[in-house]
Amino acid sequence: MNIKRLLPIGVAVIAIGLAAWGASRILERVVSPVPTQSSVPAASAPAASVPHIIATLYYATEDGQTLAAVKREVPLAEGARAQGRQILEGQLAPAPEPYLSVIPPGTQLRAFYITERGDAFVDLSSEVSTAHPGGSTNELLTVHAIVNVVTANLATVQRVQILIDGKEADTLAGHVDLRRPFARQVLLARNP
Amino acid sequence: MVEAVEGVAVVLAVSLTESKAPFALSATAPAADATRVSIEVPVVPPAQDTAATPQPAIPAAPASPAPPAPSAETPAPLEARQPGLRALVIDPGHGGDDAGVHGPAEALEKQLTLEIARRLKGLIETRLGVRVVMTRDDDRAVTLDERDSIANNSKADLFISIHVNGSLASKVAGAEVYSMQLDREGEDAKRDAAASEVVLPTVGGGSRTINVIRWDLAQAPHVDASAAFASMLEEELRKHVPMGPLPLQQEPMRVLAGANMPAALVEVGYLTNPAQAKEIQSDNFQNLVAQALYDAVLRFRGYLETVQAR
Repeated sequence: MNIKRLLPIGVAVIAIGLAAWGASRILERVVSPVPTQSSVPAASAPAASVPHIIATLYYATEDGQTLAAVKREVPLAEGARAQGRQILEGQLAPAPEPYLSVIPPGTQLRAFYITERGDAFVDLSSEVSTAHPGGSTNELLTVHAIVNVVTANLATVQRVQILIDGKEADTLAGHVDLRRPFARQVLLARNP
Repeated sequence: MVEAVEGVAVVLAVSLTESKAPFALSATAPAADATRVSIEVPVVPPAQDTAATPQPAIPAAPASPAPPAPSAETPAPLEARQPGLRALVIDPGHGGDDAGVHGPAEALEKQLTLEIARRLKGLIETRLGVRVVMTRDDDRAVTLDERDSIANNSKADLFISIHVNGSLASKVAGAEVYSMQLDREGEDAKRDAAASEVVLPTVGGGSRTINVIRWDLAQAPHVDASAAFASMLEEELRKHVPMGPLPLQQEPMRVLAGANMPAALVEVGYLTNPAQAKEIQSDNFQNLVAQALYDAVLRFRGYLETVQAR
């Protein structure tokens, strides 16, 4: 076959291949499956085929005094409520090294919903209170992390109220007032 | 002033602005299916002699431990009650089933807070002549609402809640002081406090003005004075004991929210730090903390007198 006739065909095939590769990379960034070697680790062990987003989760720093905002992957979900559930599930998972989890182990997310006014309700199982280690510092970190993780990732949420076993609660461990919802700007001060 | 909300208990904290005479408040709920609750506010004439005002029972001070020796800058004991600060409530954190933070060697926050509270009570009663009310004086569970109720019904001028802190990191140590942080609703309540005055006729003729505010917002009118008291606590503690990384904070602390008086919460140290846990259990540390809190109370008495003189 004539090389002059094959050359343009070869160039065209390579160009099409490059274009397809580029398009697939762009799609990956929009709806991103978990990369095998990611610098942003997943908050939980998801199925490889599930698309993910990058969320900001909150953990205590090694000195136990402040919250660190850590980027982690959580499964993509349809709508703010479902996405909020996925983000909170990620927050409840164990903290990555070297951070410390501020949510007591065994705590489960019972429900999450958002009102039309932008009030979010995070309903947690009783372990968030019964297994809490206590102390104002620990309790503030727990409350701040829960409020921050919702408000930082869901733009429509204006305030967050924490419920325990479906009911309004006084406190987690005797210190921080949970009877009214927290506004987003109130609790950002503890961020590093 | 008070919204009718189905299924919600509405509790009122009443502040007397013209007299500190005894005051009774009773509520009656009619039939179970009724939609209204009436609140009767019987008003009695102001007492002629405030020193004769009946006082609630004060738990007996423990035989031990003994309060520390007075410092050089401490004034001599006073026999008469001083204007400005007549009664103080000390709130030992936790108690009963709620042990608070667990330290090494079975050290419990609830026990340590009670020990420090007793030392402070002894100091204030013997050296300031101020009436002291404890929210608990033994190992019993007291709800946060009950603690506020004891304080408000005692018509105290100052509330101090004593706690021992906990951290996820065992190296953290030091004392921290909290005063109340208001949210938007609290700020509104603070602004509207003066506008909520109600003038009631008295039995002996004339009238009396009272302020009515929701119980969960009772701290709102006092946040500035509480912040001043918290600063004094931080400054005095710093002279005696190590301070934590965030020594002075404003947060929405539940037990402070319902106190209808200047109020602050003190975390005297970290029970999760093994070295500090041992220290907190010592007589020396507890006496130093009690002395620091006493000095701050003394300073705040001067602050109250200055404010009231304006």
